[in-house]
Amino acid sequence: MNLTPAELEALRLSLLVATVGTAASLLPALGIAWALARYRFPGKILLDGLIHLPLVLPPVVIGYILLVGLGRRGVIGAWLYESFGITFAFTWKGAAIVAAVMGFPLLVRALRLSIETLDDGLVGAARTLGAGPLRAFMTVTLPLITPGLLTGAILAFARALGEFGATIAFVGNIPGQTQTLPLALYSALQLPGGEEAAWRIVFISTLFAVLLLALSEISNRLLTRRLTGTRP
Amino acid sequence: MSVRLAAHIRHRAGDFSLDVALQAGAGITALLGPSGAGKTMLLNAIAGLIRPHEGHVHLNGRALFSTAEKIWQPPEARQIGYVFQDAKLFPHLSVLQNLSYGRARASAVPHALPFDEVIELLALGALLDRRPHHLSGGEKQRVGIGRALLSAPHLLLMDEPLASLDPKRRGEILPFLDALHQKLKLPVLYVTHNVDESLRLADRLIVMDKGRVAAQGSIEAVLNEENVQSLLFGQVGDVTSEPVTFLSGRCLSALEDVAEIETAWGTFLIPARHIAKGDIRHLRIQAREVALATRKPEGLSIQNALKARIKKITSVGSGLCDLCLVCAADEKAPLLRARITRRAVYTLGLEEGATVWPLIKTAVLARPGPITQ
Repeated sequence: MNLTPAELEALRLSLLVATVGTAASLLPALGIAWALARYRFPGKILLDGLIHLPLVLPPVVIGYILLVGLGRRGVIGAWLYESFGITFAFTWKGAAIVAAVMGFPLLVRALRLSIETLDDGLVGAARTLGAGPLRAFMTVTLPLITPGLLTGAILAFARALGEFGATIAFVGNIPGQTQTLPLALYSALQLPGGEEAAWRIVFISTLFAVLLLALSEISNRLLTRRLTGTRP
Repeated sequence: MSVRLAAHIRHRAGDFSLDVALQAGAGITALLGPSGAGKTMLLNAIAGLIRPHEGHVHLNGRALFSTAEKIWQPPEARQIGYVFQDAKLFPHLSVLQNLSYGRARASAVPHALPFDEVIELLALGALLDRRPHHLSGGEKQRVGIGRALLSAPHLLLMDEPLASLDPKRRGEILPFLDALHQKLKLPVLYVTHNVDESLRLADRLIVMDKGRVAAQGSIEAVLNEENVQSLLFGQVGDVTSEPVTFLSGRCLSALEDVAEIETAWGTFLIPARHIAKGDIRHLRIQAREVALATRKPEGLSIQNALKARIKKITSVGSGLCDLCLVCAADEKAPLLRARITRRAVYTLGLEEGATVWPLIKTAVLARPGPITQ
């Protein structure tokens, strides 16, 4: 099976967008998951709801909201363009933002769960052994929440690979710019005789989905065994 | 006792309030009290894991915390080792990595214990490559103790290190704690709710109840106090709780399995092994195990006859009486508590001020056996 250069480009874009989007959301997701798991503050329920919006709203709505906010004439987008010359609409960076937003709730949920099950006493023990807050975080907290981090990141990455509605609404369907695999599939279906191309994209998408699932399962097993000595 | 740790902690959490002033020197100071007395909160405050509302903590003359002087040292700067009830070993690290975790700090100070010495003391050599989840409860505690010791602490806090273990494992750990006690000149605060554990390990005792100190001092002085006995063994003067007398003594000589012990009441012979001249032993005498004679006994197998004066006779119901007996001229010497039937009191014509010879079997005077809950 040979992918056409356009399909290869769509695959490359999909991986780029999903990687950048997931990577960019890691730190903010960790911060928010931490706040939700550990602190009580006013507006906590609101924040929790806001983060979960991408899971419950139609993706097109999210895409439209992003366009209104971050488009070149959007509230934040216009300022970003005039001040820094940055534009997100109709670029792969915009698609990465969509990936980050759509995957965010999945990442936060997985992280929050592992932070909530983390034994605070272990950090206390590290502190009494001479570790400052940063060293305790890097040597105790982070390794112990890694399973959650990995699971969340893989889920968010998979979600980004499959993202369609919000992407097409915010950044359009421009080959070589914003046309990821699902968008390429959509385009192929619009063309007469595009079935063969469509099947190739279906195949490659399925392959990646299965690979990611396997990766998630294997890493989870390895880490769980390492941390608890039991098989999940 | 030269004071190494001096602390006063006032803290509130919900309805609970803690207000405790304490001092500790080298050796083991047991913090004894029922669950919910605030013992763990006190340790956490001394370690810096919680920030008390008011008070101070001075260790070897250095202020670690003081609301008056506006000093707050974080736990990592305090050089206080902490052995947790459930060990709190890092599950993602091997035993060796756990033990080494605090070495970064230890390598910078002169009083650090050599690694090999701690490994040998706690017999950890065979465990080094293992992961915490492959250790038994007793092994985990030994690693936890080793990890704390290797971080070169000036003070060791131990929070019920035996509580989560079954009696057999407890018996495994005790010799290590004894060795620790003898080899290290470190002050240790040892939290427990088990009297036998305190008797076996402690040099001094602080009894806590509801966030306050109920009594502190020597084991003999503290455990013979009535309010302490009420707290630990049930209300004094009630038939359901049996009074206990605690008597501390120093070994004058040990011959095979009999030791000569010098106490406030005089010298006793007790069956004891693993005891050396100069060792301190605490004897626990249950009131029911004391018999009384109105004449000096002869031809008895009991070797430790005392002469005593009856100070007080209290009827406790169910046909029983508790007697309080003065056994020595020294006012500070503990009073012997005996429980006999009212019928015996009547038949022997016992009354307050009378002289009796209490009979205590030497076996009863032996050191407490394995610690049980």
